Amino acid sequence: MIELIELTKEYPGSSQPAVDRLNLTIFKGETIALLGPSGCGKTSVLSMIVGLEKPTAGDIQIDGQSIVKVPVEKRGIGLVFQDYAIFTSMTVRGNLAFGLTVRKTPKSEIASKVNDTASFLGLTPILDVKASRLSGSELQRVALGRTLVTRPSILLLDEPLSNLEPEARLATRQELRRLRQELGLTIIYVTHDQVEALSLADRLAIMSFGRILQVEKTSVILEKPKLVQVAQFLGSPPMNIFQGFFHQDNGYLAFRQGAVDLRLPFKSLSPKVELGSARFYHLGLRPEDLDFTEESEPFFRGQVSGLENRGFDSVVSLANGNLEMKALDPQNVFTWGETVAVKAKAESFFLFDKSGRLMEGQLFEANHD
Amino acid sequence: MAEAYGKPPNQGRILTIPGQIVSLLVLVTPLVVALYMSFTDWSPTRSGLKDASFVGLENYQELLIYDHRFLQAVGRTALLAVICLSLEFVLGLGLATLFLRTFRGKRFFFSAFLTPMMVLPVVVGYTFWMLFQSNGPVNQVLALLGLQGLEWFRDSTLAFVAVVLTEVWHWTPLFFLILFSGLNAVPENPIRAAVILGASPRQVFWKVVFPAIKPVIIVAFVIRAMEVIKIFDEVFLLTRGGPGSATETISLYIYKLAFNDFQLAYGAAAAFLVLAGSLVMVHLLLIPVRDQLLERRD
Repeated sequence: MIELIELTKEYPGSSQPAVDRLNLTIFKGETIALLGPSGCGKTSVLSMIVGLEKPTAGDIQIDGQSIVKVPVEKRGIGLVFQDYAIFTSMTVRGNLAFGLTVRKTPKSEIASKVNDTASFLGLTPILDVKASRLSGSELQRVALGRTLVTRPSILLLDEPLSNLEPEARLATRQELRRLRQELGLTIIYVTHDQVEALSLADRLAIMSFGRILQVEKTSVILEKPKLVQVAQFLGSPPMNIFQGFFHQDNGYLAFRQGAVDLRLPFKSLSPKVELGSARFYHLGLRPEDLDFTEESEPFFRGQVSGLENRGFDSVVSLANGNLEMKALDPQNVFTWGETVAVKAKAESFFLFDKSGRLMEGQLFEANHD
Repeated sequence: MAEAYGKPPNQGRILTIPGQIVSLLVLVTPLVVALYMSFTDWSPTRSGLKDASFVGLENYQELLIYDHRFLQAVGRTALLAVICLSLEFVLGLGLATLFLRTFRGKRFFFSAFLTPMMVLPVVVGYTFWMLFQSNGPVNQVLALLGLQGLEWFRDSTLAFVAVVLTEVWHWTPLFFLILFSGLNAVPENPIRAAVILGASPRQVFWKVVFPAIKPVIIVAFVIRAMEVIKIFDEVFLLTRGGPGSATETISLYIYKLAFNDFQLAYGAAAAFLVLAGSLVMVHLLLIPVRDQLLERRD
């Protein structure tokens, strides 16, 4: 078990800490992804765990023992860099053997360990090839192998899939799952790509500005974004978020952002939710939960202000005044400038309070229709 | 016009003809004439080159077997090259490593350390000649330290040392500059990876950094080696090859052959031997990194 306790990293000359009092517990044998935009501090976290950088404050513990003062090479942690950081002047064998050679391991032991790792990763046929001649996925397997030869119990991966071709990504994903199963490794990896995060990890830790916003099982995080920032980050395209207040208008409930009213499919609000311009909320709705409609009083009516054809569907941006939302059009039928109406089911709405926290429980009562 | 556009390649070639002729006259002809000359016994004080008799390899034979002064000059130049290049490499690498860190006044010192190589060799030679005089600044400093002044240019070894010091002062900056840019171009992540895998700083340098900068080091050595073989100005101004011929380098000896003794044919043969020697040396130096340098990057 690895525990990051109030972990903080400040770089000189920077006003904001790169990592800010971060707490996270990582269980033995699990795969966890730190997901966040570039510059959110996720690589700094990896650097501190592996020992390339010292925390400004806070502690890192493995099974209850602080490792902050333990030298890098004694931590038993492996790191695979995003660019693989292969020693290009050596052969594959030289790369794999490096961690053992520098520790003055006996030659016979090096040979057997290198051969084992090579066959485990399918590198045996290219053992004597110069590393400068390898392809991207081969480089990655060499980088993995070079780390695994030293038998780390924890493996850190920096953007493991981002430099690979789509086919190689699939293979690598399977490879990493196999590693975890057969070697019982704890894997921590960082990525800014949610697909990469969702496809590999048991749990996701979503990071922003050096802090963790939410840690959640991968299988449920899309359904349970606890914070509006998380909702805005996840999904492709991410959730539509409207900022405004609820009000009653001519017998129906509406949510007003700026001068635009969104007509809600609710009969009433629960007592927890208050009406009136003094009560500010974030209202969330997934693009995939919006349906196009012909009805005369829809949830929203706007002009098509953007179209992004993704092959199997289009992302349609609809705008009215300063309010814009995205919806998915599986038939690719809309054109620029066209006026389009959308509706949504009551159960697909997410409500976040003023500070951005998800409000849970029954909040609305749906219309009967 | 359309026709002219249709035949640019030929026209282009035609347009280079004047340039080709000039380079033929200026570059190739003298080389061929000198090569021919080296197979004759021509001396300008006796006759024209066309009347000189062809002696075959006699000049080369003489140089390689009987001319001890030439062989000594070759050996001395090689020794000078080995000593100077070693010192320049070590000092240059040390400086380059220092400059990888941040410290106060880095920009200033960077410029300052690069200045010597921009000074004209003649000025360097003259300045150091002055410095090493019997009552010059070097001896005055030695006197301040309570040491006896040295007769730099009267002692064979000391004269050689003076030449080495001058050359090292003049050209260490070039090694520094080349090695510094080489070190700066070494990617950081392989170094970090090596550290995580347990390599000591020494192992990191020899196993990761050194292979990465090896081509740069060799190129620096090739450039400097060629320059040292050609060294003339500084030695001429410092010692004129003296005392005796204690600091006589190849260039200086060939200069004396040609302009003191007017043995132009013999001097030409010596020059061609040096050229052949340099070619062989440069190729030998480049062998270990040739593949690395010529490797195609995808």
